[in-house]
Amino acid sequence: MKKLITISLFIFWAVVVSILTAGLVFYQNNKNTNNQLAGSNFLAGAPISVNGLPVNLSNTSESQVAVNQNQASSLSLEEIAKHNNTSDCWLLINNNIYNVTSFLSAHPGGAGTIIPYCGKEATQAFKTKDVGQPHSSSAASMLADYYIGTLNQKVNSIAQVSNSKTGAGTKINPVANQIVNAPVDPTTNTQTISVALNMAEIAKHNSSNDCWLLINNKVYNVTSFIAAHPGGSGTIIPNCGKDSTQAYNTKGGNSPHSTNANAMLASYFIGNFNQQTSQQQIQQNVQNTNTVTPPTRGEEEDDD
Amino acid sequence: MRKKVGILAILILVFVPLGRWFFIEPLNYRFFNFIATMTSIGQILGIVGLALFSINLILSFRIKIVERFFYGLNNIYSFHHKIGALAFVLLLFHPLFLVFSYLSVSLKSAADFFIPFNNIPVTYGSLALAIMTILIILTFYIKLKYHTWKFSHKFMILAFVFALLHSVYISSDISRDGFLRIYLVTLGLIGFSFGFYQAFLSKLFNFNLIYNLKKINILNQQVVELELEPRNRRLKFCPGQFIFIRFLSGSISTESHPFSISSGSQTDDLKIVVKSLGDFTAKLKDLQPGLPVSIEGPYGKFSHLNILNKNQVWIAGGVGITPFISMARSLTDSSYHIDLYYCTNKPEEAVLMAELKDIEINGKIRVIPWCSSEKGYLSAKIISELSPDLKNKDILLCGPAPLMFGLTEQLLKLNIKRKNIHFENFQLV
Repeated sequence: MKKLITISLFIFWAVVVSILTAGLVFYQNNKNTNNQLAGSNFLAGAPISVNGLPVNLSNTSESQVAVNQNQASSLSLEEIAKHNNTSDCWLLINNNIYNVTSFLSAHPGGAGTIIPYCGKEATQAFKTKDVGQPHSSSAASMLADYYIGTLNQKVNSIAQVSNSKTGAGTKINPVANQIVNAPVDPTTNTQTISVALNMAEIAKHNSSNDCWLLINNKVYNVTSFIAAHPGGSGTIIPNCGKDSTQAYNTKGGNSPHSTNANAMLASYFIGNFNQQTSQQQIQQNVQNTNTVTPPTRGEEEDDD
Repeated sequence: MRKKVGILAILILVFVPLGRWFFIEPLNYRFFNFIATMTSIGQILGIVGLALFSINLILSFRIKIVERFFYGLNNIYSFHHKIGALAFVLLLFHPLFLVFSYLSVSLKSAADFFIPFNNIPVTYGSLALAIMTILIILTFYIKLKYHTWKFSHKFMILAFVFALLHSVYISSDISRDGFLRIYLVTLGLIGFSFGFYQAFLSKLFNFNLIYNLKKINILNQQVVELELEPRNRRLKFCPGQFIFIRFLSGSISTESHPFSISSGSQTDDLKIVVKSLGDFTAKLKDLQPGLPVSIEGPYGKFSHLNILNKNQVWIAGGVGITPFISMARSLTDSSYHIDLYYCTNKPEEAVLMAELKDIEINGKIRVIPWCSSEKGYLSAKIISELSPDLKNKDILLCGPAPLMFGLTEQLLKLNIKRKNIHFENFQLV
């Protein structure tokens, strides 16, 4: 018995210490790599987030482009229902569709709790875990990583939407490719046009398809984040195009956002209030934020 | 046979929740890939570990009915020791299997899993494991004084409370399945009440007999014999059994300690023989007569009276002679044929030899003193030469573990049947 205990204690501490060490090293390396990327590939002030959780593409902007180009298919309930098994599992939660196939086995509550909802409406199940307990905010932000579209959204290819998510959590798409593949803005001519990030400009971006927020004299383009907001998209949309400092600091009540949330916000930064910038730069910033999902843990970015 | 009833009961108590777990969800959901399989194994370890932990608290409760199922209290403690170690190992591996699912997300989230205070239910589990680890190390690796260890071991209840909170608050099969939840919480609460009563409340209620310390006989430098006289009723016991004694006042620890009875079962006074091994036993010889003593028991099944065969070989190592002295003093039936091997290192360590020789003269038993410093260690071969027809005799052993287990091995090699070998492992108590 003593031998068994000695061996078990040894294995236990070896695993715990190595995971903690590896986790820390991985975390540091990631930070360095991303800082280098920020220095070489991006304009100053373009924040890149560091992440512990999977980094993957947020597909929103591509889907939206697809809407304009070719309205061939729709993410309908019938379509969702086809993705109802362990090798292809979509969930409908709050009218958002998530492809959680790659997440099934990673679910802390066990894959078995998700599988029965594959291809179905799972809002209630997600909200209550079937036992009246809500998921944590970190669970909600994890879910956001698997977002593929909203209900009845038009897309040009189901396969493309679906496949863009099956690798979630496993790889980071090279940033260079993203820029090459990024949809060409039809208003190319306007790219060099100088823009002042003043109140009038901010106010133009006041819809869920184009949403800027002014928070603490910094301007953020959170369009791609709306759907992923753990507090729900409905709490952001009314603030689009406005000074949302108060709303952000109090969440509409009196509880402030977490440091985690602050770090997430930082990745959507496009410029300081009243700063002179160009369409091109804004466009670039938007692309950058779209290539990286929000960080999950208090990693503050250098905003200025 | 009756010993098996206890084991069977433990197995049933463990397999009920495990069985239930297998029917909550289809198994292809549970084991559909490597990560899911690891998570499922982790969950099984948690459920079984918790059930065993609850059972172990029940086993820590000294109750006569439970003793019957395990054929003696020291068998229960032996089980308690093994089940405790097993439960600890299972619970230690419980998070290690669960971490696979976090690793599949990222190394960072796996590291976060092990950092306490990120998530309250997980923290309960970490605290339970941390407390258990410390207490298990104190039990298995560090030799503490008996009452210091016993005090430290009471904190297992705290570890158990955290383990139970963890199981109730964490989102899992336990939170989703009513039967599993009710079963494990009920078992847990029973375990908690038994363990808590035994650890903290049993001192407050005295249902035991009260004796007075009458006399202290110093037998040699290390060994004393305490004589206790009953205040009212006297204890009925079977020679060979042991008791827990607790001093109700005086300059000595008020924890209860187990000792074998050395007096005969017909006399009113109780005698115990104590070798000073630790702090508590060293202090015994300085006690003043007249102290009130609480006597809890008797416990144990180790007695010549529990064996049908009247041809017996008794083998005592050092202070392990105590139960045999009680048996020898109680012996009235002349149809017994008994050879008593009394092993010590040196002749002067063989306490109460004079009294044993008296009993020998009366023709009841044959005493064979065996000093290892003069004749080397006693072996099964020597026993078979000195006690002919060994195969038709029952052998009773009491002494240090190496002596008992060593001799048992040798006896088995001589084709003595295991069911004919009986031993009292007083060091486990």
